[in-house]
Amino acid sequence: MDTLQLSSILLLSAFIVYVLSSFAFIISITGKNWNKNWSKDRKSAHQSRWGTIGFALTLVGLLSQIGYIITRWLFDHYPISNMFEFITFLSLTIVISFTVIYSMYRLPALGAFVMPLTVIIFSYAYIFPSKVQTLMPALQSHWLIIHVSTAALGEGLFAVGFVAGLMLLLRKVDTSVTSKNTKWLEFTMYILLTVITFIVSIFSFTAAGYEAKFTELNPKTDEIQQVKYVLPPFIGPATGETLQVDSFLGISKPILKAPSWMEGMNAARKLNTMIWSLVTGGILYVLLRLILRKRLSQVASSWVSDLDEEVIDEISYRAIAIGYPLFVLGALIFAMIWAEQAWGRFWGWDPKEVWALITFLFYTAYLHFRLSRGWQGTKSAWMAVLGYLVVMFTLVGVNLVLSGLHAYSGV
Amino acid sequence: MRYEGAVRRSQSINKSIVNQIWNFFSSVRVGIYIILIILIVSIMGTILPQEHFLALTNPKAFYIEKYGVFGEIFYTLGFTRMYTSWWYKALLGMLLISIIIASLDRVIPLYRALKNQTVRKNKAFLMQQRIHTQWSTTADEIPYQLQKLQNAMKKRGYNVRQDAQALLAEKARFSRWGPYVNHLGLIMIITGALLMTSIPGWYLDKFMWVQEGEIKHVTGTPYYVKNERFTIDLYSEAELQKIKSENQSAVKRYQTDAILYEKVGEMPNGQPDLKQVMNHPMTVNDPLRYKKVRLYQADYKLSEWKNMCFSIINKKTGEKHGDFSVDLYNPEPSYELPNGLTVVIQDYFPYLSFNEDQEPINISSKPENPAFIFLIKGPEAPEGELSWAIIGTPLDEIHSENVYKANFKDLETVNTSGIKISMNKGMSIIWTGAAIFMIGIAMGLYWQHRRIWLCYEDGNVIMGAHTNKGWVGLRKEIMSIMKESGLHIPDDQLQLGGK
Repeated sequence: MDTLQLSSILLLSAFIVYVLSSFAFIISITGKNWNKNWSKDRKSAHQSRWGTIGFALTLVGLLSQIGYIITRWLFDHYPISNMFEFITFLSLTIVISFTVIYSMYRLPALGAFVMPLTVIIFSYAYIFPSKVQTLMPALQSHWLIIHVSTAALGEGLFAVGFVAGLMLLLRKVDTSVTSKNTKWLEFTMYILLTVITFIVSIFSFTAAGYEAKFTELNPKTDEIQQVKYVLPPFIGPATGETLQVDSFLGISKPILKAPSWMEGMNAARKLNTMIWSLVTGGILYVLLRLILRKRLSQVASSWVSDLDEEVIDEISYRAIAIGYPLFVLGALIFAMIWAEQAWGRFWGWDPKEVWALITFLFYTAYLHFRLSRGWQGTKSAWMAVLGYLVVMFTLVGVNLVLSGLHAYSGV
Repeated sequence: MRYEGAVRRSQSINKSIVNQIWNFFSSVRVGIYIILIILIVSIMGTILPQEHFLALTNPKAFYIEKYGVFGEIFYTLGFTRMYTSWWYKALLGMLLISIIIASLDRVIPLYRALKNQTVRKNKAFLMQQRIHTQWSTTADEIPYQLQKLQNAMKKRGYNVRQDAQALLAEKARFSRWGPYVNHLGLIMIITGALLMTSIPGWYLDKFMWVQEGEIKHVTGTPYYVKNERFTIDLYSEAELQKIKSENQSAVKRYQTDAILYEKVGEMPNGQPDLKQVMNHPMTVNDPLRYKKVRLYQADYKLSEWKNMCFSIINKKTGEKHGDFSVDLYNPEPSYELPNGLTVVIQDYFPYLSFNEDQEPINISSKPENPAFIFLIKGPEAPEGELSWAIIGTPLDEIHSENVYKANFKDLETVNTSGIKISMNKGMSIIWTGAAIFMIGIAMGLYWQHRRIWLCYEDGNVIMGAHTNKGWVGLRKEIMSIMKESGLHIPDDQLQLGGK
């Protein structure tokens, strides 16, 4: 077995252990209600035992993932230079952030929300090719490691801030009545479901060997190229022809063509993936509503019903407050130093740079609302939730939707 | 609580214009709105690519053609060059003013207030605090209790002052200065960025192509650059095999061996007198740095035609009369060959084309389709014979009368480096600002200013505590201080207070 194989095994083990730790945390907070006859002490013993198991598993997974980083680094380079490596790294920083915050507040419920999020993000990484790739000259710098690691750590803490914010909303908002807050909470749940169905769909169709092929005009080179879809084509390319579409539920050709202005290479495929995720997410959402006969946020809020609002509010704020300086240092200052060294300018209004600035401005507004204008509770929690959307767009959306210097591959 | 009742200028009643402007910008709410406006505007700027990434000759037509009506509106609103537009800079300027005024408005009153704190606060003030509690004790007991509490507080890093039977314990007051320190850093960054392009001679950003062997002047500076050699290294077979990559053309390194000269005077013939000041193999991520000037490996062109080699042949005898090489960028007027042969360049077309009347014309100074008209003089043609030479075109027929023939022999190519030259004298202000900004936000966010007040009144000890953030942590700390001092306060009696 060579270092690379060892490294892949360590990564996969980390993933599996994170799944287990998610379950342990969920058992910790839901299991205490399994037996109605349990005394208060018995319940809290159950909670703290499973919380401890969950946290121990988290640490095991963390060590395993650090082992992956070290072995992959020894094999070739610090794994942070393509989408697969970066997304797995992002999940690592969420776990590190969670570990730090958990050791301060010891709240198993936090794990029951953070660890599943970690698992979702982690599995997203596996959509991208996991091969080691050669480093292009622009990436051959220590600043790659310093800039990306620090920024990702800040983003990991923003993820914990987001999760705690969501928990606070579930705790504070009365999810049994219809209100603006419940509607937006349901919408948040729906978005999370679309992410899940997106990942599951990609894996299922890839595993089943599904394929749809089209020709498409590449506007950059003016050449006809082949585009491969992994998911069934609701939307075909604006130009070009259908080569082959495996049948899925009777869909043997695209239902619609992408609008003509979407002429970027793969634009139609990305649109198709998005629509597919929104539709299947919607189907899953409706199914869950029918099965549970409750709002999803109502179910989730029962997990946090006994938490101290003040504590979750502080956790959300604390995570963001710790993350903010790290984000500034990594995503702006180190980024500027590196840009000055590699591109000859410290700031160039590249879309990724602009979005890092937008993230910074957003959390700056959050801190000012909170510190100077006394925003706490629901308003500030919504900002923590929205903030993470901005973070994820900066990290993933910019690469997939906007063009620029920070190009990675995309699905 | 924030400014301890000290009067801020913005709260004075004077309604002069200056004061109204001051009041407007001193508001944190206004500051947040400015931040949010910049945020939203910046998002809009990323919807379509900015002009400066596209190198367009007719940007308006491009945006209309590619994005339709939306593109036209986007272009007309100036969003395609948003980040360098006057109104974007004006927004940053307003943010700058807001930061300066809001900070000045608060920092001095805050300093005065924190400097002149009284230890004893009245009971109502303490009971208003978000964290407060009280317990009964006797006058005999109180000195011991206060002593124990003081010890426990000091152990946790508190600075404790006592005034009769009242205590004020305070910790990490410096974190209150964090916002003002980080605002100072921001002021430096924004000022540096706005200044650098406005002060002449501070900022230089140029790009130039330099051929191997060529020395070029960097306009606007006393510097000259020579490109000694440009190379591209690919990843080796072994390196690719190790990671099982099949990408044979993966580039490992772009490198220009560059020499930087400084002009120290002028030679008698008018040429600059150059002194070598630096040589450096420039690669991506490793620029040449000399004083404030940086040279970057930014682009390249491979194997461009540089020299064309010809040999003169006597068509009758087949005898070779020697070779000559013409620099396509800088051809000599004539070339002397052995056996009394001379080749005069009668005409040169770096980029040959033909007009409507089928006459040869030149369309570019770049030698991409070079053609020559030679005048070849030799013993057998003393008056000289005109001879065309066009690459890849056999012209023997039109030269059938000629004795001599210029045979194309060889083409020498050269690599060209795209070098970016930059100088920014504002950088030191920006980096210092960035360092100060980091220190400021770390001070403000990684520490909390905690204060605990205690006073004894009519058989009761009243305690109130305040922090600028992290209430749960303060509550825990107070619990452990109480416990260590032998005072048991039930959890629910230590009020965290309403919202």
